[in-house]
Amino acid sequence: MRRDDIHHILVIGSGPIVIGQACEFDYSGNQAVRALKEEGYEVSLINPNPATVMTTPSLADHIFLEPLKKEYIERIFDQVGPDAVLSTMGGQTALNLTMELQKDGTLEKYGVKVIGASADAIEKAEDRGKFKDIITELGYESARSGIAHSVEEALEIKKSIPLPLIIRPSFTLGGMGGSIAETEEDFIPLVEHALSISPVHEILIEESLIGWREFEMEVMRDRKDNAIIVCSIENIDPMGVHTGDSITIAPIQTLNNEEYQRMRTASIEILRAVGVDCGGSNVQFALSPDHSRMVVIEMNPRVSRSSALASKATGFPIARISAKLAVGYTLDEVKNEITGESVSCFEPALDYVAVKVPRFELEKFPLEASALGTQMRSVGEALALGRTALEAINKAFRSSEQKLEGITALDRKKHDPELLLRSAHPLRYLAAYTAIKEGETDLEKLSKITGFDIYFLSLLMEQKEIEDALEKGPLTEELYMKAKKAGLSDKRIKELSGSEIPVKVLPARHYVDTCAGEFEALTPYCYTSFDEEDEGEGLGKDAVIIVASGPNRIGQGLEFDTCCTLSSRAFRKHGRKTVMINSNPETVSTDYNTSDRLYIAPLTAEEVLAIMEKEGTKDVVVQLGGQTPLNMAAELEKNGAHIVGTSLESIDETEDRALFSAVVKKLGLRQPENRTASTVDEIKEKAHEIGFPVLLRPSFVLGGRAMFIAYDDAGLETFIKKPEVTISSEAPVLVDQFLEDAFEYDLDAVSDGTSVYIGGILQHIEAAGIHSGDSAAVFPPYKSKPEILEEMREWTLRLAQHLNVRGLMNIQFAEKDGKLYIIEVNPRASRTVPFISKSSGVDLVEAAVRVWLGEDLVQQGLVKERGSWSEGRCITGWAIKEAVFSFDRFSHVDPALGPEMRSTGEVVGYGRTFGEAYAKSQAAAYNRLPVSGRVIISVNSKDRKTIVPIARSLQELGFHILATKGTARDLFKEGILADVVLKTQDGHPNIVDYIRLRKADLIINTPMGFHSRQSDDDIRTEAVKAHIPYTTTTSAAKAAVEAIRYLQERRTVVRELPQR
Amino acid sequence: MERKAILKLKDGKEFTGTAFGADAAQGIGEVVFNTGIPGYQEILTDPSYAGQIVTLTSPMIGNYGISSEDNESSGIKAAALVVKKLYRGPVMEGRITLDEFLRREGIIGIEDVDTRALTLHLRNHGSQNAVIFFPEDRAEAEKKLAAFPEITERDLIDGVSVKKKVENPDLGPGFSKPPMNAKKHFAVVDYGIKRSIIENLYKRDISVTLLPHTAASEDVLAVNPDALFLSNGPGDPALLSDAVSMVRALIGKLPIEGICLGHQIITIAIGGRTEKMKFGHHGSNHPVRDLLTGRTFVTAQNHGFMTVKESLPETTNLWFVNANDGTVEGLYDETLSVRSVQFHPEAAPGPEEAESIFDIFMEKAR
Repeated sequence: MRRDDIHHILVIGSGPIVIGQACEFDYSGNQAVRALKEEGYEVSLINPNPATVMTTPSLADHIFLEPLKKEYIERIFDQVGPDAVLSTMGGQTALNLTMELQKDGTLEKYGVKVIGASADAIEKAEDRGKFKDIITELGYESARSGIAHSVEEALEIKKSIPLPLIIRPSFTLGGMGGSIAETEEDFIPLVEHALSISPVHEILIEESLIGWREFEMEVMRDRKDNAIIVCSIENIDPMGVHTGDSITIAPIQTLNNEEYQRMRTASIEILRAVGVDCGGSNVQFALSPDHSRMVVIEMNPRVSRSSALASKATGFPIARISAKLAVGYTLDEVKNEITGESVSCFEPALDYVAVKVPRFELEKFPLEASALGTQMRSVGEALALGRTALEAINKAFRSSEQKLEGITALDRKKHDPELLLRSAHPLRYLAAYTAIKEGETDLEKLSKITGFDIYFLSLLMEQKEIEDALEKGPLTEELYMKAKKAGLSDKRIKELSGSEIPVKVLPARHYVDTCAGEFEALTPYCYTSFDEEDEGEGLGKDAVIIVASGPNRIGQGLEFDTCCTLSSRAFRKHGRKTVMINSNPETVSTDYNTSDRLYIAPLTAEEVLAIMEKEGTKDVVVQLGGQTPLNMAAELEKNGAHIVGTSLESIDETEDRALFSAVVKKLGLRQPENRTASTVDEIKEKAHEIGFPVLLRPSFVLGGRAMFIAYDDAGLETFIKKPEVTISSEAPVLVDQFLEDAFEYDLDAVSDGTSVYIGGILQHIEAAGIHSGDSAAVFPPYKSKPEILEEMREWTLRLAQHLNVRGLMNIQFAEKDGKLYIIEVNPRASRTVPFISKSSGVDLVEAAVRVWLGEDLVQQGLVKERGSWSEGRCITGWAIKEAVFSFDRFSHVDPALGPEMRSTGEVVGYGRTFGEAYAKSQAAAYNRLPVSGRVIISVNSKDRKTIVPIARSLQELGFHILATKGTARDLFKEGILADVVLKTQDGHPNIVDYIRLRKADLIINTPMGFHSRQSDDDIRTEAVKAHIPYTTTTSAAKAAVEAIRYLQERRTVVRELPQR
Repeated sequence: MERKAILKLKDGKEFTGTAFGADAAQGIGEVVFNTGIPGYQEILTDPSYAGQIVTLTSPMIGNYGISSEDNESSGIKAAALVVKKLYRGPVMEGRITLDEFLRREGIIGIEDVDTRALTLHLRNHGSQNAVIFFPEDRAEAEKKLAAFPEITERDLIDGVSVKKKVENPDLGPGFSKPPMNAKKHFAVVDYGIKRSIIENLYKRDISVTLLPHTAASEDVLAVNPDALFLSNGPGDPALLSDAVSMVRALIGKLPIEGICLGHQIITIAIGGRTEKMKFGHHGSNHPVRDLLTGRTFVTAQNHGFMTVKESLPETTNLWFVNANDGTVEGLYDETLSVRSVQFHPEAAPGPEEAESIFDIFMEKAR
C-alpha cells in the first residue's frame, strides 16, 4: 500500500563519475524519480552532475545541481520542504550523507523521514563489526578478522590470523584504500594508509580468501517479509579481485541446487537480520575451491553497480521496484512491467547467459602485474547476452572495446602469459586461454594456479577446438555456424580461417522476458543469437537506430549516453520509433523504457548491420555516442546504412588534417601552425619548422590519448618512445604549434546546414595545454573581449554552412594575444552538450533531432532569420563546470594535468556570482577550498604581476601568505609580506614538506616551464594525496579568491534549476 | 562421436540436435518445460516427471555434474532430457557427468536444441506428446508417436510407487535418517514420492509408514497414523478413482494432507474437480500468496493439472493462490480436516522458504 504519511521526497544522487560510482546511479536515480512521480509524490532531486539524465528538466519537480553536502541539503529542506529522503539511489555517497544527516539530528529537526533503508539498517550493514556479529548469530561464517582503530590494535589482530591479510578502511567508496599485506614489512604502512583514509579511522583486517570462488546475490525484500533473488552472479575471477574488476557471469553456473539454495537462504536471512525491508541489497559470498566453506563477505543495503548489472541481465528493474517498496508497496503489489501479467514477487528465470567484462584504462592508468585487488580500478563495463556461456563471453570481450576480438590468445611480444597467469590482472583469463591454445590440457593444474573454476577453463577448451578447426579449415557452412554460435565475429572467423564467409546468415532476435518464455514479453528488450528461431517482427522503415557509446572510458562516458537517451526521447516525442544499441549495462540508454526496442550487443559494424537488416530500417544515428559509432560509420554506410545528419564526407573534412586546413584557408579562418609527420625524422623536422613548444598526437584519437607537449628535442624523443605511439603514413603523427598561455573555449551548437543555434560558449579556467575535458570551464565566458566572441560565432556559422552540418557540432577555439585560433571542429555531440543544454534551458539534442526530422532552426523558433546564428544564454547566472579525477585510486599515477584527458567525471556549480558558482563547483568536486589558513604561492615570472592583486585579496581575507623566494621578493615590492618557503630542490623544509605536514591550505603554483616540471609535479602529487586544493593558473587562483570570499560569507544558498 | 537426433512434437513441429546419454534409447512422452536454473539432477529423478520429456529452459546444463546425494528417487524418472547446451568437461571429484548419468540410466538426452523456440511453442500450443529419435528410425518413431497414449490416459503411478509397505524408508546418502524418537507418525501413500518430502517429515521427528498407491483405507488405519499424507506423483489425478475412494473413506477419521498430486486427489475426494493446464507450472520461481498471512512465497512447482477453484465445496477455504495467474495453490477445510498444497514446499530443486508448511502439516496432525 502506498504510504500517505509522506508527500514530498528528496532523492539524493551520487555526484560526479568516479571509479566505483558511475552511470549506474544515474540509471537508478532516474528510475526512482519516475517511479515516485508515477505514484503522485512531489520529487526533489540533488545531484551536481550536469551530465546526468536524471537532472534533465521535466522529470523531477525540483532539481538542484548543488554540492552533495550537508549544508546544501539543509537549505533544500528549508526551501522546498521535502518530508522524506530516499537514501539508496545515490551509491555510497548518498548513503553516507544520509547517515550524517541522521546522526547530527538534521533530519529530525526538519521532520524528514529516511525511506529506502533505515539508518539502523545502513549502520548494521556498513559497520563491519556489527555485520560480522549478525552473520555469526545467524550461524554463518565470516572471514576471520578483527577491527582496529590504531596500529597497535592492528598488530594485536595480526597475532591470531596468518599473512596474507586484507586491510580495508571502513566507509569508503568501492573499497577505496583497501590493500593486501603479503609480508611483515608491508603491514604497518598499509594499516597507516587505510586508517588515514577511513572517515571514521577504522579498519578491518581479515583472513585472505584469495583464490576462492566469489558469488553475489541481488536480493529484494519488502515489509511483509517477501523476499526474492533477482539475479545470482558468479565472478569468473576468483576472490582477490574487486567484483567491479572481475569478469562476471549470470546466473551462477557452477553451484548445484543445494549450494545455490544455501546461498539464497543465507542472503534473505541476512537482509532480514540487518533490517532491509523495503528495497534491494547485494550480498557477496566466497566459497572455498572444494566447496566446503561458504563465507559471507559483505552486503550493500542499496542499489549498486551490481544491481544495475542484474537489472540489465534479467530485465527486472531493481531501482524502480526499490523505489516502489520505499513508499510502502510490497513485491506482490507491483506488476512485472516486462510480462504485464505476472507480479514482481518472483525470481527471474534466465534462458540465456549474461557476461560482464570490465573495461580498464591500461594506457592512462597502467597496471603492473597483480595490480587488481580490493580496490576497484576499472572505469567501465560491457555486458553481453548469449544463449551459451562461451557465446556471451566472446561477445562481452568484444563489447569491452579493448581491441579484443573476443577470447584471443595473448601476443607474446607484448605480454608474458606465464606471469599473468599468476597475477590478479585484467588479462589473466586470456593468459589462461593462451596456455590452453598452446597445448596445456591439465585444467586442474591451471585452475590451481589461476583460481578459475575448471568449468570456465573448459569453456576455453571449447574455444580452442573451434579456433583450431577454423585454422585447419576448410570453412564449411557447418563450421561457420558452429563458430557463430560460439560467439565469434565474422572478422575473427576470417582472420583464423583465412577464408571468406561461406554464407550470409542473420542472427535470431530473442527477447529478455524475465521468465524464460513462460509469459509473453511486452517490453522490447532484445539480444541476438545464431541458429535459432526469430521472435517478433522488425519495426520497419519508421524506426531509427541510435548507436550508443559502449562501456564508460575516460573521454567517453555518461555525457554521450545522456545524448543518446535524450535523442531517443525526442525522436519518440516527434513520432519516430527508435532502436537503441548499446553494451553498457550501467546506463539509462539501456533502460527498456528509453527506446522502442533495445539491443544489448557489441558495438561493431557487424552487429549494427545485422540489427539494421532485422529491423528493416537504414537510418542510423552515429553522432551522439562519441567515437565508437563514428569509427564504424564508414563501414555502415558502405553496407547500405543511411547516416542521419551531417554527412561522412563532412566529418572526414574535419578529421583529416589536410582537408581541414584547406577548409580553414578557404573560409579565411585561422588555426595554429600544423604539420603531419609519417616518420621519426619528419617529426623533428616539422617541429623545428613550427618552432617549440609543439603539441604532438597520433591521428584519430578521443580524449587526447597520448597527446604530448614538447618544449625541445628531448621532449620529442619522449613522445616517440611512448608505447602507444605508432608512426606510419596511414596513421601519421600530428605536429602543431602549441599556443602557450592561450585562453581556450568550447562552443556547442546545432545547425541545419543554413543557420546555427549556439547553445553556449564555455571559457576554460585552466590555460591551454590542459585537455578541455580536464579543465574547469565557465559559461558564459568570464573574461573575453566581445569582438573575440563575435568572431567565434561568425566562424561557427561559416563552418556549419560549409560543412553542411546537420545536427550537433562542437568547436574548440583558443585566443592568444587577441588573435582567435580554431583548434578543432567535431561535427558530433560533445561532452559539454548536456551541461550547456541544462544551463541554457535549450535541449540541443532535441533541436538536432528536430533538424533530422526536417524541421529547420527557424521553424523551431531557435533562429530568427535563415542563414544567421543566434545564441543561448546561461539561465542560472554563472555555470562553472569542474572536472573530477579518480587519481586517489592510483597511488603511482602522477596527477599533473596535460593534454591527455584523465578526469572521470564532472560537476557543475551554479551561482548568481562567479564566486558562488566557483565555490559550489569546487565543493561539488570534493575540493576543499579553505576559508582561512596558509596559502603557498609560487608563480613563474610572467605571472608575477597578475598574482599581486590575488595575494593582496587573500591577505585581506585573512590568509597567511607563504611564497617561494622570487615570488616573495616580487610581492614584497608591492607591499605584501610573505614568509619564504624553499622550493623542493633547495633543501628543507620546502613546499612539499609543508604539504605533507598539512601546513598549507591552498597552493597557487603556476608552471615554471619545462625544466622545473619535475618539482611542479611533486607539488601536485603531494597536494592530491593530502587533499589540499591547488591551482596551476592565475585565473584559477583569482576564481578561488572569489569563491573564498563567497564562502566566508557563510550564507549557503541553493538554486533550483529553472524548468520550462 | 556426435550423433544427430530429432525431437518431433505430435503437432508436427521438429527440432534437431545432438544426442547424448544412452546411445540406443528413444524418448517418448509428454514434453514439458521447466524454467528453474540449478537442479537438473533433482528434476530428472523426481518421479512426478515419469512419462515426460523434460526441457530445461536454462541453457547451460551439466555444469556441476551429478552427485550421489541429490537423487530424489532411485534414479532418473523422466523419459528424456532436452537441453540447449550440455557441459562435457570434467566435474568435481566424486561426481559423474550428466552424460554418464543418462548413459548409466539408459535415458536419452538431446542437446543443441533451440529450447527457447520449443518453450514458446509449448506455451502457445500446449504441452503434448513428442518423441526423440535418430534420423534412421524416423518411420518407426513417427508411428509410435501417433499411437502413443495421451498423459490423461496413462497410468504412470504403478511404475514409481513402492510395491509394499515400508517403515521409515532409508533415503540414501545425503538425506536425513528417520527420527530416533518420533513425535508423530504419518501414513504416507506413495504415488511417486520425492525423498525430500520424507526428509522434511523426518526432520520434524515424524516417523513414516510408506504405503503403496494401491493401499485401501483399512491399510491406512491399520498402521494407526496421526495423519494421512498423500504424496506427489505423475499423471492425471482424474484416473485415480481408487485413491479418491480411499481418501473419501478416511475423511473425518484422520487429518489428511497432501502435496501436488496428493492435493489434487484431496480436491476430487472432497467433491472438487481438476483439469489439465495448457502447459502447467514447472519451475522454481512461482509466487504463491498465503491468504492467511498475506505473505508471498517463491516456490518450486511441477504440475500439469490443477484444482478448479469454482468446483470446491463451500466449506473449503483457499489457503494459497498463485500470485501470477490466480490458480489454486493450496486449500484447507477444517470441517473435513484436510489441508494440501499444490506447490512443493520441500523444493528440491528450488527455494526452501516454504518449508514451514511442513510445520503446519505436523501441527495439524492428530
